Amino acid sequence: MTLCSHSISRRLARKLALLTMLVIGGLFLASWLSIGLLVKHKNAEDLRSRTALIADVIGLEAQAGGEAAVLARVQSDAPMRANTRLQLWRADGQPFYADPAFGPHAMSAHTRSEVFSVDAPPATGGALRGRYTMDFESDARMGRNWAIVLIVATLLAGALVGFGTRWHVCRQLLPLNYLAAQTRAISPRQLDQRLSLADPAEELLPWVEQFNALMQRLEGAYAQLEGFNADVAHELRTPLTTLIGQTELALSRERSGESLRDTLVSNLEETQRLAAMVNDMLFLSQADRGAEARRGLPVSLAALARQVVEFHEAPLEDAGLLLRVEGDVTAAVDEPLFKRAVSNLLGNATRFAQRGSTVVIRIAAEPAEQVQVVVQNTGEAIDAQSLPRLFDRFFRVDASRCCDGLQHHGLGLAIVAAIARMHAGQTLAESQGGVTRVGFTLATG
Amino acid sequence: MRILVVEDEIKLAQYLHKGLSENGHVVDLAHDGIEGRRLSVGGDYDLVLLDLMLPGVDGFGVLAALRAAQRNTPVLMLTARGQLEDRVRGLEQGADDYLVKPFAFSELLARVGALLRRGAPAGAQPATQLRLGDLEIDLVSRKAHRAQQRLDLTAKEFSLLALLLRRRGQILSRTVLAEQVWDMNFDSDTNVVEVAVRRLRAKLDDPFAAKLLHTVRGMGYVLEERPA
Repeated sequence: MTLCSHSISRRLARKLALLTMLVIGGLFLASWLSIGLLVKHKNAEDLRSRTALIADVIGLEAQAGGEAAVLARVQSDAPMRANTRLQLWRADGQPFYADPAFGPHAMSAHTRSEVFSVDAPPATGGALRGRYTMDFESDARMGRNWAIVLIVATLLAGALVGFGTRWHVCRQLLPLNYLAAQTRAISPRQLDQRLSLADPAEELLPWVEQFNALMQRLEGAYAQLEGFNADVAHELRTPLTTLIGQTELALSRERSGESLRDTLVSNLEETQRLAAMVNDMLFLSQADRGAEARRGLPVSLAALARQVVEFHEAPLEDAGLLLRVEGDVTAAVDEPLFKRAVSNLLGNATRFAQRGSTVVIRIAAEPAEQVQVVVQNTGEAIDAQSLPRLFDRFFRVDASRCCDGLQHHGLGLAIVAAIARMHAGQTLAESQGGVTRVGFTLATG
Repeated sequence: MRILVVEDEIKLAQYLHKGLSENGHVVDLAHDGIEGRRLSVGGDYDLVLLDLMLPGVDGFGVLAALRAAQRNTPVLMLTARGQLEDRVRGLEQGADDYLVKPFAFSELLARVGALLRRGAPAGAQPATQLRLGDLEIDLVSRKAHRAQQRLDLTAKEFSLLALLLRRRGQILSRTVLAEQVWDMNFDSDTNVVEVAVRRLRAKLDDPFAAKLLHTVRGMGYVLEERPA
C-alpha cells in the first residue's frame, strides 16, 4: 500500500483542481462577457453610422432625381451591402424597395435593425421610411468558438493542477512511508530505537519529536516493569525454594505427625507471606494503572494518625519509644489508605529509631492545597545514596538489619508512595545528623 | 447449616467442601454458573459461596438470578479480582460479603460464621459479663479480673481480650484482630498484632499456671481452656 492510494493527496488534488477551475473559469467568463458587451456596443455604433450615411445618400438622391434616382442608387449600391439588408416604404406604407432576402442579403438569427425616415418632397407622399438590418453572425460565431476555447482551457488547467498537486503531495508525503517503515521496525526488544527524518519537514518534526518522546517514556516504563518482574521473580524464588524443599524433605521418609505438622505450619507461614506479597503487588499495579483514592468526608488527619499510633502502641512501648503527634489539618482522604501509609511509616520508624528516643508524626498544611505528613525518628542516618531509592519496590537499606523479617518484604514504603500518588501527592525523605524524616504529601480534596 | 459452593476450580472446591464439612456444615458443590444458578435458586441453602469468574454464567449472573427469584440467601463472593469496582458491584447487586483470593481458611470460616449468625433469630440480650475459667470481664465497667485479681489493661488490650473472649474457641487471625480491635482494614507488614498479643499475654497468663491465650502457628490466636 503506497501513500498515493491514501486520500489526502487525492482529496487535495480534487479540491485544488476544482478551485483552479472556479477561479480561471470565473475570470474567463467575466472577460468573455465584457468583450461580448464591447462588440455589441461597437456593432450598434456601426449600424447607426451606416444607417445615417444611407439616409443621407437617399435624401440627396431624392432631392436631385426623385424616386427614380433613389431606386437606381439603392439598386446600384446593393452589392456593397453584403450581409446587410435595406428595406424602404413610401409614406403611405406601400413597399418601395427591398433587398432580396437571399444571397448576400440572407439574414441569420443574429441581426440588429435601425429604422429611419427621409424627407423627400419629390417622391410620392413626400417622405420615405426605411429599415436597415445588419447581420452579426460572424461575431456571434466568434463568440461561441471563443467560449469553447475558454471552457476547454479551464478544464485543462483544472486537470493540470489536479495531477500536479497529486504528484507533488505524494512526493512530499514520501517521508511518511519512510517513518512507517521505521515504526514497523521497532520491536519490544529494541525500544531504544527512535524515528528520524533525512529531510526534516516542519510539519512532520513535532510529530516525530512527540513519537520519540513517547518511546522514551515507554522505554522507561518497560524497563521499570522488567526490573519489577525480575525483582518479583527473585523475591518469590526464596520462599518457593523453601516450600518445595521442605515438602520434599517431609515426604522423603516416614515422619511423625508432630514433625509433619511442623512442616505444614512452616509452609503455611511461607505461603501467607507469598499471598501478602502478591496482594501488595496487585495494589501497587492498580495504583500504577491510575487508580485513585476514594476520599471520604473531611476529617482530622491528626485523629487518624492517633488511631494508627494506638495500633502501634505495643511495638512502640516494646522498643522503648515515645511518640508525639504535632499539628493537624482537616482534609478529605481515603481513610483506610491514609492509615495504611502512616502505619507503614511508623513501622519503619520503629525499626530504625534509637531506644529511648521520641518519634514525631508531623502534619502540616503546605502551599498549593497540599498537606505534608512526616514521620521523624532519631537513629542511625540513612546514607544519601539510599535516600532516593527508599520508596523503590523491594529496596532495603540494609538487608541484615531487616530482623523482624517474616512479614517484611520491602514493599512498605513503595505502598506509601503509591498511596501518595493516589492522593495526587509525592514522597519525601531526608536524613541529617541522626534525624531521619520520611513522609509524603497529599492534595487536599 | 447447608452451604452451596459455586466454584469451577476443582481443587479449591474440594478443599472448601472438606473444610466446611469438617466444621459441621452440609456442603453441595456446583462447578459452573448454570448449575450454580439452578441449585441456588431451587435449593434451600443457608449460605452461598459464589466465585465471580465461572464458565456458563458468571457470579454476577448467578447473584442476579438468585435475587430476582426473591431469595434472601446470604451470598459470600469469592473473587480473584481485587478491583474495588468488582467489590462495589457485587455488594450493590446484593452480595452480603466478599473475600479476595488468596484468602486464609480461618478468614473464610469467620466470615461464614458471621453471615450465618446474621441470618439466625436474635437471641437473648448479649451478656455484659463474660467468663472463662477464672477469667471474668465486665463489658460495661470495662474491667477484667483473673482469680479475683484485677488485670491492669490498656483500653485496646481490653478490647482485644473482650473480642477473644466473645469468640472463645475460635481462631482469630491477625487481620481479623487488626480490623476488629483497631479498625485497621489492611494487611499490615508489621508485627504489631503479635506484639500486642504478647503484651496481653504477659498480663493475662504469665502470673498464672493455667494458660488461656494460645497461639495457633500460622493461623492466629485463640482463647480457650486447655487441659494442662
